[in-house]
Amino acid sequence: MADGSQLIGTIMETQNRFDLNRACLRWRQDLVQQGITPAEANELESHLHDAMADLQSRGLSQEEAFWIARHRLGPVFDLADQFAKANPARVWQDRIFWGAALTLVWLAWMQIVGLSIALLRTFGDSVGLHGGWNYLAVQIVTLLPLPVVAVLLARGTLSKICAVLTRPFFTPRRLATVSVVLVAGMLGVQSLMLYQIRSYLPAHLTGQVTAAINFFGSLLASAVWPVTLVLVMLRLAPRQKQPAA
Amino acid sequence: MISKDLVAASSRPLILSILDEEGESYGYAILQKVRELSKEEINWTDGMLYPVLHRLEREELITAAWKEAQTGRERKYYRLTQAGRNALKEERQQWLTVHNSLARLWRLKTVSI
Repeated sequence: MADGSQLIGTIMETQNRFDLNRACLRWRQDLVQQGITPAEANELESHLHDAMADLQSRGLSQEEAFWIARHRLGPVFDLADQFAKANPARVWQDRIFWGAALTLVWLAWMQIVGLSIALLRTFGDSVGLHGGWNYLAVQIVTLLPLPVVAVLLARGTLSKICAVLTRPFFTPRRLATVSVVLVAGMLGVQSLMLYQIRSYLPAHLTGQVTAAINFFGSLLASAVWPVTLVLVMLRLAPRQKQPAA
Repeated sequence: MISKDLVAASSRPLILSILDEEGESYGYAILQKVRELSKEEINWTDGMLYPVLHRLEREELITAAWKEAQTGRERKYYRLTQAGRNALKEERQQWLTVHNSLARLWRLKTVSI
């Protein structure tokens, strides 16, 4: 208990001592992280100081003035959005970014489809179902998402899901993590399938060397697109720091 | 209170006119001026001004320079270019045309363009 109240005491003490420089710095960092250039952030900060001076001359404390001035400038995300919209070059960067993101998701989805079909076929083989089952497996896997998407769309939850799914893309670090996981997953699936294909090949074709070259060659080839897309995305990540004008 | 669309549409002539009148000015002062002129009816959110200013700067209608203010802090001051003055003339003509059309309908005084 004593520790708890002591902690609360410390927190309150820290809150009481308002450090303008630190508050400004943190705000600036938020702005830049959301895609506002340092030059633009300088101007917004100068505005903040002007507004604060005005408020303080009317009797507000420094801390009150800071929060009100900050509030009047609007939420950081909205600010970044308005700045981005006013710059056509950045609008295009955003479009290309989302195009790349969608293509990457599509590639990943195709991998999942491929893997699911392979698994369903293996299952079909193991229980003695053939031709007709294979056809059905392809149908199930490729058409399954359509009713799911339709239901989600009808219930209005699709936009919420999209908002959650796109959240990882808003900071470069998270974007990089997600992309690496996605690409690694895709390559993992690809190598599994390549391995399986190789095991089907007749013995005289599976000389160790040829197999190794084919294996890594194919893997490299299938990595080209996802990696290119990830690089494009990292370069154009929206809300990412832009070079100062 | 003025509607959002009208606020957005009128931001351009307002900024150009204020800079024409003042010679040079900075973001916060421009906002204050708009509030004062409109008797608080035109309520710009503080943050929306800068994207508009930067767009005008890219269109080379205004130029900007950082200067030290009396407070000792640096401020970014904007002023009109010749192209900006021409654009203002054009804006003025268009807005007055709209004004006169409405004025005739509402039996108010028209102004000469």
